[in-house]
Amino acid sequence: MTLVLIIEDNPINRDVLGRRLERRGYSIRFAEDGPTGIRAAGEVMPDVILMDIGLGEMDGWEATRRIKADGKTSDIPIIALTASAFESDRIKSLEAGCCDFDTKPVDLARLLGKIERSLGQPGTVPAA
Amino acid sequence: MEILRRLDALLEWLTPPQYREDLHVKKRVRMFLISHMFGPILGAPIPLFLYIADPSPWPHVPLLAASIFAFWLFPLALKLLPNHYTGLALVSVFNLNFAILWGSYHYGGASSPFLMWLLVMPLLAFFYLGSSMNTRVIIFAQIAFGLASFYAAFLFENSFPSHIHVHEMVEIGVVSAFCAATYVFFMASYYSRVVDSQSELLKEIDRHRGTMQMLRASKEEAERANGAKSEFLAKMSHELRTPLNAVIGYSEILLEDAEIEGRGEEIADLQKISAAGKHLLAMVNDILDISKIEAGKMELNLESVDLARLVDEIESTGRPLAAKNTNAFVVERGDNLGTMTADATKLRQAIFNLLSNAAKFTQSGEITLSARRERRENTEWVVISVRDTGAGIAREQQAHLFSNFSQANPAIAAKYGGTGLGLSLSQNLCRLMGGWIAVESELGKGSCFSIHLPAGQPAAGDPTEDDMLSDALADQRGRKAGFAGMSSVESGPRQKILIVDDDVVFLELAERLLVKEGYSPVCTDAPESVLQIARTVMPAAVLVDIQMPGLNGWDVLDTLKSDPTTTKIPVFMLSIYEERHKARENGASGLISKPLDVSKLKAAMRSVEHDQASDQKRRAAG
Repeated sequence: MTLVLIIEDNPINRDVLGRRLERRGYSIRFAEDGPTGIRAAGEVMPDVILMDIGLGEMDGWEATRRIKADGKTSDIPIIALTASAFESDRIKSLEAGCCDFDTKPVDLARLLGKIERSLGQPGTVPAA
Repeated sequence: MEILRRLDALLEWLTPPQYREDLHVKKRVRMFLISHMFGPILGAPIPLFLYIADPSPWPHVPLLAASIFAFWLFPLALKLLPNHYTGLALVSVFNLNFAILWGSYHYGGASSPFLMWLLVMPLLAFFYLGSSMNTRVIIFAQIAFGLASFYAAFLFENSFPSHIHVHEMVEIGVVSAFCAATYVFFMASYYSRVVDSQSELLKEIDRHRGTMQMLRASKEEAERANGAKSEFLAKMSHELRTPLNAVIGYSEILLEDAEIEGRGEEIADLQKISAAGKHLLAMVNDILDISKIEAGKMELNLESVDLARLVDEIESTGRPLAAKNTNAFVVERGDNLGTMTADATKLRQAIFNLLSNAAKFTQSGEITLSARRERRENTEWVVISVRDTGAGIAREQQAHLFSNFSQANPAIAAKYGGTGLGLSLSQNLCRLMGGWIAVESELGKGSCFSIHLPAGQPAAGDPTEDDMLSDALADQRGRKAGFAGMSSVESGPRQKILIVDDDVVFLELAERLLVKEGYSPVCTDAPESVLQIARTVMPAAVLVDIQMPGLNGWDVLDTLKSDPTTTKIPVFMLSIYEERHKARENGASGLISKPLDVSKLKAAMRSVEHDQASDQKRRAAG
């Protein structure tokens, strides 16, 4: 079963996204901020991470960079999620090491496509 | 009054053109002309009287008369020698000095009734020449020299000549005093009028300065407000998306549950919640996009787009959309669609918007999506049209189609929903990519919306080849410039010209004018988007209106010049004022005055091309 780690500070977003993915047969773990997320990534070794960008003190980009910098977790694909839809956010996410980017509220079908695509290319090299 | 008018015309005619521009100089020259025209009339009684009273008037009285009437020659001399105003004025003052002292010496010496005219001299001199240090020194020297000669002559002869007795000169003395006083009277009154009007002018300038300050303050205020508005909208739409996430997410979860458990009534309700949430989200997204465009923060992600694949993609998602109102969906693919440079997401967004409009307003009809490539004057264009057999749009409503929050009529909003933002947004997106959306429609028969986009410039290819090509082009243009003006239609590729003006009426006019003259104009009324558009279109020149709310022309110029990709594009400022100097200083290639005169634009373009050609030759040589 595919293990998804959702790093998201908003409890409602966490809940709704987690439940919808669970119904699609994914196994879900949660983390509510950057540092917890980084630790969880190392501990549970998920197949994919959904990373909220607008986290608290440490933003999603920074958390992504740290996960990617750790040899143990650097191969886990990370998909950035943000409620802001600026092109620069997408580029910043790719630069930080995310393999994909999506906007919230999530279009579940689209997100599932992105998750499946990211699983097909383990150890994704960040797009230039 | 008629006389005054004629006098004025005469003065105007006598004033050399180079002295007409500066109000100050013009006043001085007029003063010079007036005093030379009327001075001899006031001075004339003196030689006349002396000629009669003096038993042997030769040669001193005719000489005095000659000196006085010589003043009449000065206005004509100025007409003939317009560049020697100062010299003429100095000679005139010298002549006046001579006439006064000559007359005084021969009639009465130091107690002559004519000596008082000497006071007129510095007055006139300063009128003509201004009160600079040089003028002061020269005039003072003239007075000193004149009086010294006067006294030296007295010492030499040991007396003043006495042609007539002083007591015989009472009448002419009185007349002389009267004439001198009259002369000074007029001069002084004229002078005081000048001073008055000047202080009035200063007050006027002060008032204007005040108004300017107020205008600037309110302009800044408006800009701040506009910036705050865009920021507020962007923030709001961001904030609105988070709770929408919950509405859409939970309603879908509940919907799934209801479907599994077969609770039919709930399904319908939940579907309504979900649809409303999605509709709200679409509106929020549109608002966010529009505020991004207005704030100049819309970024394009240009990439090479495979058109055939794009059409396939759109076909598969568009088909269920069209089917909703039992419409047939037809896709027409042109030959050799190839690739184009565009922002795929934004292009898709625009096409989808057109498709969903067509689907919304067509019932059991036909919706046709067609894509084709077109060659227009050596430029490749891509045209993607969405045609429907639906309700159609009345001609008078077509003009407002692309405005924010505008729908053909309020009843439509009630019947079909929608924000009225879609078309405006799509149009703006296409403009950002260097194109536009055109509409053709007939009420009751259907509509056709076409997206026109440049297929895009070849991305950074082989540099040497490019250089050679542009060299050859520049050469060709250089040769053409040699006999330009003979032919108005250029045979070369249509040059793209980007025009930026907040005045939509002017844009339309300029667009038509430029098309007629063989250019390919790209117009925008959003100065914030200019850089993005210029980067995409890479026009041959940019015309920027100086006076625009928000980002003004100078800001736009600055933005274009500070970006490495656009810095070489010649920019012409459009203005009704003459700010040529400022335009040059700020890096513009020139200034073109409004209303737009295409011959002037062409001349300006030629000079830029010529400069570039010689520049490239120099580089090639060096």
